[in-house]
Amino acid sequence: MNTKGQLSDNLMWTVSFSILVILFFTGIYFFISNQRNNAAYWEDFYAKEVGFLINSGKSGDVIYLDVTKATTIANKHKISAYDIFTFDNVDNYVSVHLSEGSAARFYFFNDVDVIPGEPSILLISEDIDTNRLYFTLR
Amino acid sequence: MNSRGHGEEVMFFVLFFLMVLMGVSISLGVLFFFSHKIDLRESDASLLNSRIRQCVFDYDVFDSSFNLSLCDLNADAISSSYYVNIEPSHGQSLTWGISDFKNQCYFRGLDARKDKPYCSSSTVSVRGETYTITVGTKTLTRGTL
Repeated sequence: MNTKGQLSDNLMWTVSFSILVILFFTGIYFFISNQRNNAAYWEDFYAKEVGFLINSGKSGDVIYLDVTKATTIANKHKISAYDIFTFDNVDNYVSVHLSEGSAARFYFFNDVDVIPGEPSILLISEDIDTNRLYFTLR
Repeated sequence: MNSRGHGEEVMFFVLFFLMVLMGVSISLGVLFFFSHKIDLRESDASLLNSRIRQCVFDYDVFDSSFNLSLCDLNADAISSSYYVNIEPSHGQSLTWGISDFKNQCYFRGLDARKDKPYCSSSTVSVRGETYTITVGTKTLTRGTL
């Protein structure tokens, strides 16, 4: 009988397995978190969202859009909030840039000029902690 | 003899195998979810279709002096990313954009693909003529930089 040895074996087994489980769940957490902040996915999402709003609008419309997720991701990649959304009124596209070396463009068919607000993103809107993009169609 | 010790070793590998299985399943699920991009093809095609319908109401689109900017539509954007066809019940049809979208829209083999164009059709009767309007779009973004 070796109670002390068995106890020590059990303890070793439990500790090593616990470490493995912790490492496993930490890895899964970071993987999911990294995917949720996938810049390419959100660039595509916001380019289409803003492009669709422009296509749906008409001259004189003022559009406000919650872009908190975009500013959060851009901030993680050290992109200035004011460089995220750019509008080209000659080639009719909106470009969304959330990380270094990538951007998504959406070409809109509505023949309007997009006039970004000054600044184009309101970092805090009233008492709500959201970031809003705003622009006017002309 | 240490039969219990052997059991724990076996259990360790079973649990390790289960964790690997869970990890692979979660990773595949997350990757699958985030690989799907937002799909606006149907809304985009319907929106452009309604704009073209309004345009046919307001103007004689078959007149040689007609151009899309009269309806506040950008001809360059439509030429590069859309397909628009206006077909009267009698006579020649009028087409702008990527003509191949018409074939791709109804090609069953491409059904599962997200980059397959979506076509929206409608008819409008005006000035004694019935027009069939077909609009196709892929609604894709283009990566740059």
